Order: sequence, then structure tokens, then C-alpha cells
Amino acid sequence: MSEPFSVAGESAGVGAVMSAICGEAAPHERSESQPRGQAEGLLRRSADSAVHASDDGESTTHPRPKTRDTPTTQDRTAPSNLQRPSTIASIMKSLWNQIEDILPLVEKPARYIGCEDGMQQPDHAPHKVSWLFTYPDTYEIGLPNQGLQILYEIINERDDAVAERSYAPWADLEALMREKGIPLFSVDQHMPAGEFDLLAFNLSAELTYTNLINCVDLAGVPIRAADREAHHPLVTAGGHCTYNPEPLADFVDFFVLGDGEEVVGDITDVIREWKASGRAEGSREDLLRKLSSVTGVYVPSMYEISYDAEPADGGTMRPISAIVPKYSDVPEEVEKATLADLAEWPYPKNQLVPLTEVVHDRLNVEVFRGCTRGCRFCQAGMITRPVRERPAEQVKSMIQDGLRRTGYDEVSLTSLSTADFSGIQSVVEDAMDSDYNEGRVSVALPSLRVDAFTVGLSAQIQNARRTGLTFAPEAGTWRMRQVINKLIREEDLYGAVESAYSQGWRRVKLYFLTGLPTETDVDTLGIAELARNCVAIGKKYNKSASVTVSVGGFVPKPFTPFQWFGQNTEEELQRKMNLLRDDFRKSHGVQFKWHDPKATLIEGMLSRGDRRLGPVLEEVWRNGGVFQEWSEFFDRDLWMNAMENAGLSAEYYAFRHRHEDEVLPWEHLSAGLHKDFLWQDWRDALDEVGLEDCRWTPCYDCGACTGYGIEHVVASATPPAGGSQGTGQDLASGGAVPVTLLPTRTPVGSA
Amino acid sequence: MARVWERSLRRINLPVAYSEGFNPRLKLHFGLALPTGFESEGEFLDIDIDPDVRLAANAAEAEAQAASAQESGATTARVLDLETTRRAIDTATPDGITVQALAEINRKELSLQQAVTSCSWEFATTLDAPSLQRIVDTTLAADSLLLDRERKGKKMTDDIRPQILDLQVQHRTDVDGPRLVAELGTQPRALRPAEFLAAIDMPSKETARVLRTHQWIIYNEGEPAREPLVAGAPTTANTEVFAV
Repeated sequence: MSEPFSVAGESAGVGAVMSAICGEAAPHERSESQPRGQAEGLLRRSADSAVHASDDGESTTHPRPKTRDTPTTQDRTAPSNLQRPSTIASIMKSLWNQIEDILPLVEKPARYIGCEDGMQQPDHAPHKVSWLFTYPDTYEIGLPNQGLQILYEIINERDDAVAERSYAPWADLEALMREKGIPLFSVDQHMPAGEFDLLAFNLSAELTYTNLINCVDLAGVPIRAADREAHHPLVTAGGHCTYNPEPLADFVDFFVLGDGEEVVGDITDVIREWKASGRAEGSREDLLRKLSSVTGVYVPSMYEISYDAEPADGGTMRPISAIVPKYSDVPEEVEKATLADLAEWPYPKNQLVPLTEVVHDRLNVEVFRGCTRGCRFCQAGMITRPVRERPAEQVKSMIQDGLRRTGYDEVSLTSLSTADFSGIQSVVEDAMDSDYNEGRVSVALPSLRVDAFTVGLSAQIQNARRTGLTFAPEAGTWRMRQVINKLIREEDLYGAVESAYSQGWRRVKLYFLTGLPTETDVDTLGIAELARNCVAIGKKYNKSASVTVSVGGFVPKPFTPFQWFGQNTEEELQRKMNLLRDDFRKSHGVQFKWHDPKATLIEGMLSRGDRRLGPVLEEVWRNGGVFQEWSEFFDRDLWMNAMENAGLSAEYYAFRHRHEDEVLPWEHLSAGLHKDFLWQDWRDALDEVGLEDCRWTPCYDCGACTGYGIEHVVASATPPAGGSQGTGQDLASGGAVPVTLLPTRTPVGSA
Repeated sequence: MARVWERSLRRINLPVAYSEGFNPRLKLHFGLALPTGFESEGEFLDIDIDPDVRLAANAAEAEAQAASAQESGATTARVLDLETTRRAIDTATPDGITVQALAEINRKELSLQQAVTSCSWEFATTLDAPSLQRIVDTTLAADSLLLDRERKGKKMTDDIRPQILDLQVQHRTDVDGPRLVAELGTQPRALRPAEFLAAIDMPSKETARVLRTHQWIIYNEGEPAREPLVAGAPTTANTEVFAV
């Protein structure tokens, strides 16, 4: 723990003759120390592989330099001395004065003060519905989350609602908060979390589940939904993990599936009426029942789960036999909420600009939502269908307005595969030609396809900083890539890599998964083969050319064709990692990084787990198991002991293949995909048959469009340039690549 | 903090000079670092302006300059008036940063880091005035105050007493309670507030809120120290650089 005044790291001096006057509830420390961790190293990939928890660092969950003693586990069985929320009619009071006193004692205090450009300080009032959007991880990871920022703006535009934000306090601050009885607070106006009407969490990773429980407890709210009364906040969650939220069913009042823009309004309406009706004791269940009929809302307490009488398949666990709503007006199947037209929602309009360094610290503009490339391991690509592009003109104006307002000099065009955006070329050119900042704007394209077109595009926009370029072939052999339907031929990869090195890049980063269905050691070692060939190509242009290979253990996700697949055991994944590590020993120029198989196991159990895991989450949390996605906090034994105490089996949840007729824990939820489509795609995977991208080919009725009566919104009727790359259009030849590249460098050693 | 400034200046499209190289950055020069968690009423920043841009004290002077440039047939240079620019930067910076004054300075002057000779600090504690006075008396009476600190990885013991240039108890009219006010030397190596607090006889449990009030420069040997610029009274000179 930092002592007062033994401040590590000093800021660059604050400029200007300045005085710290920032209104009554104003923070008094204004300068943040320079970052000590490589914040970029904490990035989660937003794209193709929701299954990687992190990409950097050897065998880590979240790589982060250790800078402090890790606080030991805290005894959460002791009665909490947190302040109880007062009655609902009370006017909220800022906790700033109490918080200000302890901030000098904690690391990176600037993450708790708010004050970002774009921050809102709405007026609370008894008749308004108050949302506290909470990201159950650190501020650095949570602040840039676009989903949270979008909903924050949409709610604050309403007359009948207000929204503030909160993030999981780091362990040093949590210890002080518990000691001094300070509850979880918002960063905007430092209001006590327990006095909001809704605590709304963003769930994008399984290992943050215990942080959610911790935040609810820090808010002074009972952690179990069944123990909450009318005056307590409603605890809700959205995000990709809510497509199987069952492990959290005991703790969360309701989940929201799908796009949040419209549904937060519907929820606000229901809750506003409930508040107006007096929020009577005992009315909470009625409210939840009413909420269950809002499209996209899932109330776990409204469903009865029954189990088979006997364990199946020689195991110890009884499979689920049925999931039935408790009342006739509760839907048998919960549908996700889907926006028909992204153009109607040009949010965030005022992206938050933090004072301290965060991940993705740049302007973000979402160019489209959804992806139909059909990579079978990718949950994001399955659950966010159909493809809905934002009009190119709107993208351009969001970039220009955003840059001017924020002062950023970099914009990231976000989506699941940005090079597939119909207007990509004109949007990039427009951004580069902008007179803003005398044209010194750089454009980041996350989630790039593997082809030369992409490199050409990157060459146009990265005039400076040509340090590293990242591709995700995901598997080492063509056979394996057909299984996962990521149809990149070796020529595509080598072409992309050759373009990259010839254009001046010196380092290429490649992402892979291991532990995929039907994988053999030939496939695993194919990763090393590809990497070595890429280095050889690079050496032609630059003697110091290098390739970084990052390998993650595959975690099957709900609503993907691989949801029936039993994931590799920890030992098997470790064996494959070792196989690669040994193989890379003889390779120069390859850096090998892998994701900790221990963490992969826990993610796997939670990813396809059911309600019986609730006690496990609670026990892990009670024993201090928070920030489990951070390597210095992750504790496998905590989880496995809790599993044993609850009489549950990792084999059942993670390693076992499922039958076609098995009732899955998310059987009553729907991402719009027909189950028979997913099953057929799973069979095709095992037969090594690829599937085309339906954006540019006839519909194969996955269910995402037809079920909702909506369609793809794609400006271009033809697939983008750039080879086979998953379009499935011309796999035989791959087609010519109509790409304009910058003048090519002469290979080293050639005359 | 550098990023906050870069973004703020880009928001108003201020014609700041850029560094050369593959990754051009705004040319900003910061003074002595302010440790995390401390407040300040006296911070300074040098900004290199695009060499093609000329500066004027206010709008009227800027107009006059532009007119005379046009008359003499010179290429019309962009003229920036300091008063309007000060307001613009002040608006663009986040809440909590107030831009009080701008002035043009000579590029030949020493960098802020080198030029500042001492800083004044205020420490707000829960101690009463007599207790603080005892601390002041003990500290000033000491011939030497030894402090262990690390320098380039090596542990060394320094006498920091010579760096305590002034120390007293003061009552400010705008805040409650007495404050410890110290002027601490910065050359050749700055005495940090945290080091100062560690060296004096402060009760160990006591924490202090720290405020920097001034940064002083001795411009000429023998003359009293002055601040780099006086708030509210910007001066101009016909040079290329100006300080905020």
C-alpha cells in the first residue's frame, strides 16, 4: 500500500498558472502519475475472439507489472459496516468529502474523481429513475467501454431519468472504504450507489462475475436478489455474457440481452411507474414480472429449473430436464433486443475524455454492428447478427465532430471486422484529409482481416508509427481453419505479411487459438510453421523482422456451433502450449505468448455453467476472490475448492461434449439463431465444410434476420476486395487483389 | 497531464509547433513536476508556437499588426492575440485547470525546469497553531536535517536543512485552520514536499493536504526572486515563444 507522500512516479508538471477550483464537490488533486503498466497490454480484443481473455504476457490473465503488495484476502463473512441506504425519498448526498480524505492514500487517485470531458452531472429528483452504470473492473478498463457510454448519454437525455457511472475500486481503495464505511460511489457526483434505482452492470468477461457481487456488497445492498426489499436498487446486467447469465442468476434481478439503446427506455418507463405507485413493500416481485415482458429482459427468478433424477453419462451431476416460466405471462423464450437501424443512434455523441490513461484512449466510432463471416468459435459474430452498417456520411461527421470536441488525434473505427465496412475507403480518406489538427490524424483499424487489401489500407493511414500490425489466422492449418470457418488460405496470410514488411512494418503479431474441435498436434504445430514462414518473409525486407505469436486456449461459448463441444482440459492445453514452446525454441525471431490454461478452465466452467454455480461464485468472493482476470489476483485453488464444497464437477461444465437433445442452461434464451442451424453448423464443422458469408450470398436462414423481420443493412452489394478472406466467394483462386500499395522496399540483399 | 494539455490545445486548433520525426508531438515544455495528489495555484507551461504565427497582446493590437503587415505587402501572417487565446485555452481545459495569464517569452531563456530556484508550499493538517509553531521552531533551529533517499538506485543520506529557505505558520483568510508554509529549494535537486514532511518532526499519523502556491526564479544574482509571470498582467516581447 502506498504511504501518504511516498508517491510513486511524478506527473509532468501541470501547466498554466492554475488553481484547483472545480465547484463544491470538486476533486482537489488533478494530476495523475504517468502510467506504470503498459495500458495497451491490457487490451482485450474486441474482435473475432471473445475467447481470448488477454493477449499479452507470458501465461497471464491480465498482464500487469506488480507495483504493490497484493492485499490479502478479506474476510467478507464479517458483518459489513457499510452505510445502509436511507429511505428512497431522501435526497442523495455526495460522499465527496469523505472520499477526498482517503484518495491521497491510494494508487492512481485520478480514476475515482470523474471530471472527464463529457461527464454529466444530472439533477436527481424523486420522480426520476436513476441508473448507476457500473463496469465491474478497473476504471482503466471500463471507462472506454462504448456500450456503457452510449446508455449513459441516452438515459441522461431523458426528462424522467438520470445516469451516473461507477467502476470497481482497486483493492487498496476497497480496504479503506470498508474500514471507513464508505459505500460504492459514482464518479460523476460521488453519490452512494445504494441510493440509485438501478445498479446496471456491463458483463463482458466471466472472470469479472465476483467483482459484480463485490460491487453490490460495497453498495450496501444484499448480494442475493431474494434478500432485497422494495427500497433496494434493482441489480441488472447487460453485455455479451448475459447470453448465459445463469451462474449469476441468484445475484442479479434481471438481465438484458442484445442492443441496449431502446430497451433501457422501456425499462425506465416500467420503473418510473413503479416509483410513482409508491414502491410498496412486497411490490418488487410484481415489478420484475412486469419487466419480464419487455423484449430483451430476462428475469431469472421467474423460471423454475428442474433436473433429471439421476446423473447422466456416468458422471456425478444431474443434467437439466426443463426450464419453465413460473407464470403464464412470463415468456417461455426470452428474445434479445435488436436495433433495426444504427443510423438512428449516433452515440456516443460526447465520448468521455479521461484525465488519466486508459485502454483504447482515442476517439471510437462504431461503423457497423454484427458480423456474418461465421467464424464458429466467435460468440460476438453469432449473437450480434444481422450486420447493420452506419451510413458512411454519418461516420464521417461523427469522426470530424468527435475529433474537434475531444482533442484526440486518433480515431478508431470499431466493428467486428472493420475492413468489411462498405464505405471504408472513403471514410479513411476523409479522416486523413481533414483540416483538423493540420491533417495529423491517425486512424486505427482494430479487427483487421488477413489480406493485402487490409495492409494497403493500413499503409495509407499509418503514416507514422509503423511498429506492429496484428492478424488473427486463429488456427495453424487450412483443415483446422475450415473447421472453425475462418477461411484464410496460407497465401492470404503470407501475402498480407509480405505487404506489411515491404511497407516498413517490422513486427507482425499473430493470434491463434488452441484446443479447437478435432485439433491434432499437426494443427497445433502448424501455428509454429506459419510463424516461421512469416519471419522468413520478413527477413527479406528487414533483418530485425520479428513475429509475435499469441495463443489462447479455446473456451466454447453459448449460441455458437461449438456450444456442444467439450473444451480441452487444463493439462491438455498446457501440453499443447509446451509443444509450441519447445518447437519455438529453435526458431529465431518468434516471440511466443500464451494465455494461462488455468484461467481458461474457470472461464469455461462459467461460460456454459448453470445456476448451481451461484454458491461457488459466492464462496470465491467471500474468500477474497475479486479481480480474477488480473494475474496477480487470479487463484485457481479458490475456485476448485469452492467447486468441491458445492459438490460440482469441472468435467460436467467444461470438458464434456453435449448431446443434441440436452437441455442447455440457456435453452430459454434466444440470440435469434435457430438451434437446428447451429447444430447443422456444428456437424459441418466436424465435416470440415466452410460456410459463406450471407451478406453477399443467399440467406441460409440462421434465424437472426427472419426471426425479427429485419435485414442486413449493408451499403455494398458486393464483397470487399482482398482474396478469399472468409467471403467464400472465390476460394479456388482467391481472386486478384486490387490493392494500391505504397512503393515497395527492395528486399535486403537483392541487387 | 501532458495528454490533457495536448488535447485541450488541439480542441481549439491552437497553432502549436510540432516536433520533427515519425511521430510529431506538440512542443510543450513543462516545469517542475507536481506530485500526484497535490493541488497547485502556481503552475507554468511553455508552449512553442508555429514560427509563422505572430503574437499580440490583445485584439486591437492584433488587428493593427495584421493591417500593417498587409500594408507592407508581407505575406499575411496569422496573428494570435494573447487575451483571446487565454480565454480560449481556459475554456478548453478541463474543470479544475484555470488559465490565469499568458505572456510571450524569449526562447533563449532557461527552461522552466532549470530556471525555477524554489517553490512555496502550503500544508493543511489537523494540528493547531501552537503545535505547528513548535515544529517550525524545531526545524529552523536544527543545524542539519538528515534524510535517507535514493538517487539513481543508490541510497544516500542528504542534509536537507539548507533547502528549507523559509518556514512559518500562516492563517489564510479564505480557508479554515492554520497552515504550514514552506519555501523549498529546487536546485541542484528539488526538495520534494513528501521528503520535507518526512524529515521534519511531524507526528507520524498526521497526513497533510499539500498546495503549491508559487514557483520562484532568481533572474539576477542579488535581486529578490520573482515568479515567471504575474497573473493578470501579461507582458509581451517580440519573441517566438510564450508561456502560460
